[in-house]
Parts: sequence; C-alpha cells; structure tokens
Amino acid sequence: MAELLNNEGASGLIPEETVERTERRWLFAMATVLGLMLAVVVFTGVTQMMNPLSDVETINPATLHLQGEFVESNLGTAVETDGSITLRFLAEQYTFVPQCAVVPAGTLIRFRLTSPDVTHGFFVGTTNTNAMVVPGYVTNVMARFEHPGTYTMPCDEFCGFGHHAMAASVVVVPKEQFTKLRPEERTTTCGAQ
Amino acid sequence: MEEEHHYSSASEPERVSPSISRSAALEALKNGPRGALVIAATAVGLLLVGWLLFYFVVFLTRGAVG
Amino acid sequence: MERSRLLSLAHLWAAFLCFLPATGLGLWQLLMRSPLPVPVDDPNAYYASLTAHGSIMAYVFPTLFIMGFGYAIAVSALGRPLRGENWAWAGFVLCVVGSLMALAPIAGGRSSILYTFYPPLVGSVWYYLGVALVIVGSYFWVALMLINFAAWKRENPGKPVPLAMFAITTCALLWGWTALGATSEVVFQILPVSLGWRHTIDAGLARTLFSMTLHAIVYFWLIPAYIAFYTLMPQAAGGRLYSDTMGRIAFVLFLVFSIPVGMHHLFMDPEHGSGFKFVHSLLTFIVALPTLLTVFTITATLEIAGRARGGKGLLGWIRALPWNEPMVLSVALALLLLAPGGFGGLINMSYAMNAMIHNTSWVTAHFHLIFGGVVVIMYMAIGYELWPRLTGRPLITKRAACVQLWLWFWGMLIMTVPWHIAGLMGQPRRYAIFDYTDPGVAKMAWLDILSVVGGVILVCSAALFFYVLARSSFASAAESISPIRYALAVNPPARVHPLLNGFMFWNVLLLALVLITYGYPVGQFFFLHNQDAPAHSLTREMKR
Repeated sequence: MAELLNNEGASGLIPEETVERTERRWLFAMATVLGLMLAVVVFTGVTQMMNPLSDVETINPATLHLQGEFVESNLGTAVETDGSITLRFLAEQYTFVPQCAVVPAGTLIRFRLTSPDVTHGFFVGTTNTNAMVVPGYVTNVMARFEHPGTYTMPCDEFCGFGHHAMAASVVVVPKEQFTKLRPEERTTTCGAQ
Repeated sequence: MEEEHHYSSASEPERVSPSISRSAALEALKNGPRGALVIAATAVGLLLVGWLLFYFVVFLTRGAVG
Repeated sequence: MERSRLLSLAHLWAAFLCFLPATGLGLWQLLMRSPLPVPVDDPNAYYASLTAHGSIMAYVFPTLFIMGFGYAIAVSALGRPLRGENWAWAGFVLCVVGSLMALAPIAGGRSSILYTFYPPLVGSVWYYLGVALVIVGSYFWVALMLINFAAWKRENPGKPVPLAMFAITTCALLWGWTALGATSEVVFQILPVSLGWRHTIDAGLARTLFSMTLHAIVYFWLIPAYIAFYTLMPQAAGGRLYSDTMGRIAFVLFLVFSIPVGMHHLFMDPEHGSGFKFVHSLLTFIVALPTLLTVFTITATLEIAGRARGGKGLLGWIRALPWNEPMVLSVALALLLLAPGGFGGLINMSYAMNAMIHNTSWVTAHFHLIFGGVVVIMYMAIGYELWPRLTGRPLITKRAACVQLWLWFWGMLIMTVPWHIAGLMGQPRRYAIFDYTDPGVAKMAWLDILSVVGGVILVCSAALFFYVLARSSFASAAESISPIRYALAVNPPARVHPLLNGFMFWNVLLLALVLITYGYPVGQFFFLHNQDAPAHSLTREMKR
C-alpha cells in the first residue's frame, strides 16, 4: 500500500505521509465499523439460525395442478407427525390458494409455496416471513408466530395488473384451539374474513 | 506555481483550477482536517448505532427468517 | 471544439427532456396510491406509468447524462478533441431511437412489465429491442472513453491521467462489464420467447443474470456524482482536494466490487442457497468502503476551503463556505441525503435482515433517496456547471439554481421518509391502489399523503431546473466563459502508481471475483431440471 500512496516528487503543501496516515486511519476505522456489523450478522446467523431461505428445489410449473404436492386438495395447513405444521400455498394471478389458512401459535411452521404462472412474493404481517415465489422453484421458509391474530399476507412482487388485489390471510390461533379444529376447518373457517 | 504537477488534474494548465495561496492552505491544514473527522465520525457512529438498534430491537423481535 | 460541445449538449438536453415528464408521471403515481383524488384513476395505467417512469429514470436519463458528461470530461480534462466523434453521434442516435422504441409500447399499455421486466412475465418485443439499442448506443460511449483514455496515455507516457478522466473511464468499464448481465438475459432468454421462438423460460436464471446488472448500475450512476465531488467541487468552494490518491483508490474499489454483490437483490429468492447469499452480503460490506472513504475525503476538502476562506474553530469553516455556489451547496445536500440513504442500504444488505423490509415501500424509499436524492442532485449541479461552457452563455441566475437544489433536497426527504416508515409497517411495493377502508391500510394514509407533498415539491423543483437551463440557453452570449477547471489536490502527484493509472490488473481481479461469486450460482441452472416456466404475455392477458 505504501508504494501506491507514495507520490514521487509531489510538490504539495503538507507532507503526503500526513495525508496518507489520516486516510489510512479513517479506512481502518471504517473497516472496523463494517466488521462489527458483519460479526453481528454472522453471529446471529449461526446461533439463532437467522439465515435467508436456502433449499433450492425445482418443480414443473405446468403440471402443478394435475399431480404431486401442490394439487388443490393438498394445499393449506397440514399437521406433520412431529406436531409441526406445513403450510402450502399456490401463488397465481391474482390470488393465493387457499385465500386463508389457520395455524397454531408457538409452533414451527414450514411454508412451502410455488407458482404456476409468474413471479410473486409474500410476506406475513410485520414478521420476517418474507420471500419470493418464482415459478419453477419451491420456496421453503420456516416461521414461528408467537402472537395469535389475523395477519394479512399480501403479494409483494409485481405479477400483473391485479397485483394490488392479491393477498391471503394467515390466522394464528392458540394451540389448544387449533387442536380442536377439524382438518377442513383450518381453511374454511377463516374464509369469511 | 505547480505547473509541472498539474497532469493529475488536467492535461492543460489553463484547465487546472487556480489554487488557494500556499500560506492559506498550510494554515487550513495546520491541525489536520479535525472538523471533517468530527463530522464524518459522528455520522458513521450514528449509522452504526442506528443499525444496531434496528437489528436488535426491530429485526430480531419480528421472528425467524428462512 | 464546437462539435464536441454540441455532442455533450445534445446528450444532456435529451436526458433532461425525458427526466421532466418522468417526474410528472411519478407524481401521478404517488397520487394514485394515496387516498387523495386523482385524474385518470386507472390501475392499468399505473403499471404502464410505472414502467415508463422506471425505464426512463433507470435506463434512459442517467445513461444519456453520463455519456454527455463523459464526452465533456474527455475533451476538457485531456485537452484535445474527442477521437471518434462520429461514432459518438451514432451512439447517441441509437440511444434516442432505442428509447422511443421502448417507450412506444409502454405508452400503448402493451408492455407494463416494469423496468425490472421479471420473466415469465413477457411484454412487447419492441420494449426489449429498444432497451437493447440504448445499451448498444452506450457501448459506443464505453469504447470511446477507453480509446481516448488509452490514446492520451500513449501520448503522455508516465504521466498521471487526470483524475476526472481516470474516474469516468472506470465508470465506462464498470458499465461495459455490468450491462452484460441484463443483456444476456434479454438476448438469450427473453427475446427468443418474446419473438415466439421459445415458449418457456427459466425465471431463476433470468433473475440471476439481471442481478449482475441491477446493483452495479447504481454505481454506474453514482460515479459521475463522485467525480463532481472530487474534481469540480474543490475549486467551486475555493480550496483543494484533500487527496488525489484516495480518489483513485475509491474509484478502483467501485470497479472491482460493484458487480460481485448483485445477489443481495436475491436474498429472499428460492433459487439460491444461503452460502452464496452470504458471500454477496460480505462483498457488499466491502463496497460500502469507497463511499465511506469518499465521505471523509470530501468533507475534509470542504474544510480546507472553508478554513482558507477564513473559517475558524472546529466547525466554523462550514459557515465560511460559499453557499451561493450551486456546486458547493449540492455537495453538502448530497452528503446530507447520503446519510439516511446509506443507512437504508446498510440495512438492506445485512443478509437475513433483508427479510424485514424486502419488497416493501422501504426499498422504494431507499433507492429514491440514494439515486433520486444524492445522485440526481449532483447531476443537476453538474448541469449548471456545464451549461455555460457548452452553450457559451452564462447561467441566468445562481440564486434560482440554489433555490431549486434546496427544493429538490426537501422534496426528496418529505417523499421518502414516510415511505420508509410505511415499509416497516408492512406496506408492499408496486401497488397501484390501496384499500384505505381496511383499518390496517388506513393507518398508513397520512404517510402516503405526505409523500404526495414531497412529490409536488420535487416536480416544482424539476420544472425550475429545466426553466433555468432553458432560459440560460437563450441568454445573450458572453464574450468569454472560463473553461471547466478541475481541482488541484493538496499534493498533486507528479507520478502515480501504474495500478492507479490503468485498469489491466483490476479487470482481471474483477473477472476473477465475478467467476467466484456468480460461477456456481449461474452454472447451477444448467444442471437443474424441470424449472422452465411457460411465458406469460402481458398483452395476451389484456385481450382476455
């Protein structure tokens, strides 16, 4: 670095080394500030699993409706054997299918979304559950909602002329209330909202 | 006059801006750019504090990611 | 020199001529999404307007401006006529034709795909061809910057290339490399579909190729603003540039680190893993460095000028600065906008934290503040600086210019700060209308109205800007206008290290970094299966 900064024969006003030293100190200070932020990002990424979605999974958009995981009867809330929830939505112009789903509070929820047509996005209320839905790929996002309530889930990527009218609802209910629901009520009971 | 060193500004001397007087410049930088250091350091310090606040108070409290 | 002046002037006129109506469109869009009444209350028109506004503001206006500024620098800093001036005119024509070609289908409502044109949504083939033509025209400029740079170096061996020319050549190189991403997407993926030769498209690959351009393009826009910081402001303030060397280092850092960070636009995408997402986040922290360096160097430069003008004490030099000089005022206002703008960027790039604000109004706020604010305010100041030299007529009034800059500053803040807040409250972006009867949405009504106020101020400012330049163009010619003068550094180097005087090494480093950060992310698509999605034509959809 010293050679880079050493201006030969500079007829200047103050010694170039002085300017260099000041700038170098500033550079070091800035690198430290950025390094601190990066350390926080890495630490929470490792210890609290605060990482963006990561599983790359492809799926044929043209045959979604006909067979496989995303047929209409398999969408919405599904309870897994370990008690966790898998929540499947299709994002299509201009609706999420289903429009509404009920999930229990304080439980691990695995969102799985894909699209048969164009790129959409979704996010749940003011939580960190926020991701793109790209046709050809399955979006896998983990979530846990502690507070019961009805959360709006708008589409957050331009998908065409009806983009602004596209939103679903995620209804979070206390665990005990959820266990009393019949499977079909996990989608139909909140449709009226 | 520093005509022989103008290339880093422009190729022709008439395109190089007239400099401030040598004594004025030396006086200005007598103690280094303290004011700039204070302003820039304060600004970056505020950015860092703001970032940390956002990270721990707003972001982490909103739940899991991915 | 006459023709060169006309060349730059033509570019700047074209740039500002499309900038003004684009701001008007922006104001209409603000009204549409607010609870206030609006003429032509049509959501379909909103998306068409958004496409026009974005395409002009991202692809046409800044490109033409930077090209014109670049030619002016090449002539004035290098002290010689521009080599290849006919090619420059050819490039200009291509840009203008391409812009009109792209805007036509948008105006007809047949290509409302937004300036990001994410497939499988597909618009009019004329839109893509138009944008491609603009890029081709800009490549003429890239080549000419490199040719003129190299020719001067050959004729002046061992001498430092003038900083302004060094920087604008960095800018040209950066654009030359980064535009390849979006161009590849358009040429290899979208045009075949748009022309009907293919019917499916890998949307993940398309988004990834586009991301290679999407970030570095903002540094393409930013570097000319920084050129004004480093080489035009110091003498307008009456001082000297604190460090020529740090300027060169900052520009080189931008060249190397602007492109391999693009995937920070894809943090929330399903087609990439968190490993490479982290790599791009890490590199984005690095590309924040040249801006942080610039902030200090430029503030120190302002301090030198203020103290030379008699300012005393720790901060007394601030008052001593010539605030009636548009170039000085604009730099201070730009730095003030850079603080919140940069802050937003730090939030966006912090890996998982991106989830907090992804695709909400926060993002819209961020890039309007940093580009519409920091960069455009400098473009306006550069416009004021260049105009007398290009037209041979003095600026009719510096006072109106300063008022205009203040209006732009306040307008931008008033428009974008509410947007930031609305984004944190969960307002999604790219919405034509909001249902304010919904209690959750109603809470944001006042924010959206505030943004409209900001927008009105901005449109007035843009109109005033245009008026000052237009009126000045018809003022009586002056006997002599001083030429553009470039700043002298505190220690002007007689010789500069070859690494800060040329680009061979940095090009190699850049390519290596792009390979490392994008090699696998792009390559993976050729080994994945089943992901091709049927194209969705927007025009066919309208006929339903």
